[in-house]
Amino acid sequence: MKRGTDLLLRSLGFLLERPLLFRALKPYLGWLRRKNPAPNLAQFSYRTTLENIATLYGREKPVVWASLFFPAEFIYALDGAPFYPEIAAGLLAALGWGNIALARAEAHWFSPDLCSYHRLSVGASILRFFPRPSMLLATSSICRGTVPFFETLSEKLQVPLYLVDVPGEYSRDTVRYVTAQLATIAQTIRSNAKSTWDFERPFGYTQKTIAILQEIENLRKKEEVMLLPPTKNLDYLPYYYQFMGSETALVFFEKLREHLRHTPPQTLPHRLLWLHLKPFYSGVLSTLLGEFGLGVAFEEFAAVYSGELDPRRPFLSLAEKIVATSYEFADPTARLRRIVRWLSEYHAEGVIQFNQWGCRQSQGMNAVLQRSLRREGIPVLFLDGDHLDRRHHAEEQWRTRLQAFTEMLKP
Amino acid sequence: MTEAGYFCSYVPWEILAACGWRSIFLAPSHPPSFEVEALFPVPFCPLSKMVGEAIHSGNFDLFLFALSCDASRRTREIVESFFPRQKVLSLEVPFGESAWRVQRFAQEIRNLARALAERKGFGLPEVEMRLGEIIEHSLTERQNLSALFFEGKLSGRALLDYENERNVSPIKVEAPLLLSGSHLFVEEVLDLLEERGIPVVEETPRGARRWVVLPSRGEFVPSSDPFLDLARLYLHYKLPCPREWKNRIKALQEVVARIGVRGMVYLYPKFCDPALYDLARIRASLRIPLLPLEYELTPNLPQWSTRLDAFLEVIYGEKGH
Repeated sequence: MKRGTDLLLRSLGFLLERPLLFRALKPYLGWLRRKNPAPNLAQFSYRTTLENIATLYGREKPVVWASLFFPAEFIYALDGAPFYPEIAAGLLAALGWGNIALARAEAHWFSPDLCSYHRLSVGASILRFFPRPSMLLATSSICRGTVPFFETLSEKLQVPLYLVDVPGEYSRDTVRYVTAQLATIAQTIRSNAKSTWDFERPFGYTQKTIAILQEIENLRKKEEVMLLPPTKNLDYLPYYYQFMGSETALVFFEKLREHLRHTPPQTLPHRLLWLHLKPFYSGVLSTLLGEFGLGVAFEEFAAVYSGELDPRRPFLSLAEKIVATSYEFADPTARLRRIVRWLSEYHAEGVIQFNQWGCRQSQGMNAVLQRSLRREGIPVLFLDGDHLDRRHHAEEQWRTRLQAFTEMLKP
Repeated sequence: MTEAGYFCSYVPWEILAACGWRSIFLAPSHPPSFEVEALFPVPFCPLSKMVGEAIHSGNFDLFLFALSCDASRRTREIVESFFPRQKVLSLEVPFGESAWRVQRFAQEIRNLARALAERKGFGLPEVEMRLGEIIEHSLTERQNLSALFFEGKLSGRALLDYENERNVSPIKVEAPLLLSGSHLFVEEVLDLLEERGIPVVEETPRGARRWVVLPSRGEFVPSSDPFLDLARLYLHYKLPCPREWKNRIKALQEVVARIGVRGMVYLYPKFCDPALYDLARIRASLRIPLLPLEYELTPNLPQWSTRLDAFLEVIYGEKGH
């Protein structure tokens, strides 16, 4: 890396660690609120992004990093500010900064064959692009690569990591095992940070948000309703994970529901299910899908655990959420069962998964999944590439494969 | 005697022995056929692909998967789904440092023992009776081997064939290289080093990682629960694999310091997440010269030779070896 660029990156890292700079955003945010007390979906999203930046980088609350499937309610109950590096990695890639962070990780010997969500986050952490955490929370659920990823972060950032081991099986025994771990972690945090816990508020928000999400799902099941452009809903990932358990998610999904209710019907000819995530560094894939008339009726990552969260038994409730989510994403039989059900409920004709180069857990299931879906007569397409690393970009190959897939679908 | 295959160093062979199974530690050497390779994605653990081939073309009465990483978990599913005649059992290996981890693993081993014993027509109490004695013998064996290992007397391939031969010929080596990494092509790298007259000690899942226990962990005192003892032995006492984050670097430092290691050759499969993280961490933490050698489905011997020569020049000086 050139000296000038290096100096620039160091300066940026330095500035990102000055909380006062970000607290200065507050007057502007107050003005935004006054100017537009009833923002639409896009305005709300913009304001939320800025508020989140001010909170995280202004260090108004203890910043707690978590792996994607660690429930944010746990962090809100601690009155912490949740930060999900895997989500932030997607945002950084969308902003065009992905390759800088990836290159920094690779310079520290993190192989380009590792998951780019993890690699980019490690690079961004080394560059001090991400808000400094007071602790890390992670589960081993779904992706086992999360464990060494968070262990690396813990070592690089010199902050404690609280890891929840999640067995693959869904049973009372595994839920009990995860419950015990969560309770111990909570006890350790309480004694170290003299924190108090309030699960009532985040659980309340989640229950209300789930009710709204169910209304959204019912709307999306109608053939005349479709979120466009295709895969757009994956841009809302922070609301499904990072903000779940907060007022932000509730308000956002209320606005999304209203958006779906009141937007004039607009659809593409084909309705599909989308598995895994998508390339965030470019909008090309979405454009290609639109060109071929391939709309997304529902996304696997928008499937949120809808079981009851009981504040009287918070750790048991969260353990249920963790274990059930892990099982439904990572167990082939459970995953297939959900896919087949969604195909019917959302009137979808087929399934597309955008493979992530370094993701062993999802790609390793492809052969089993493909055979099972084809046995059911369901068209399935696995597109190869990387969600964040543009070096795997293969537009012409995607075009050819999408064209062939479209020809398989009913006209 | 019925045979159970396995390939992960977390599988306690003692439990197989106590349940009346002959254990076969798999170190596959044949690349997968087209038919088997097609079941795996391209960016996927080569060992898994070769294990898939070995199961497809082999004749195991049972195959035992330790679910210690994503690749292992998915390989089990592929085998169950596409080779349904192969009987399969699995053992979940917990992550992290939680107080429950050892208890959990003990429970997993107990469940495995029950399933293995059932297939032989006897019950858990009989397994428990045999297991205590087997563990005692295994511990003595491991402690003797470990003493020799840390004296630098188990060089080269001494421990690679130990499972079958149950015999070692100790020879003291001075200032060796440490060969670390994964299952495959270990012999090929040892050949390259031996051709050049370089003393070497291996720390791989084929050899030392299966037999060596750490002196710094203190004396292993057996409890009244043999399943718990096995869990403790495999999670806390044996030479840790890349998955054991907290203990791994400390253990390697112990190996380097006690044996007087000059440098490390790290042999690893492309697309193995634990090894890829391990390599970055070793590079950052273990301050000795390090040569990474990557492989996919075949060894790249000409390239490895060239890189090895350059590395040896740095360590031993030009023509110094």
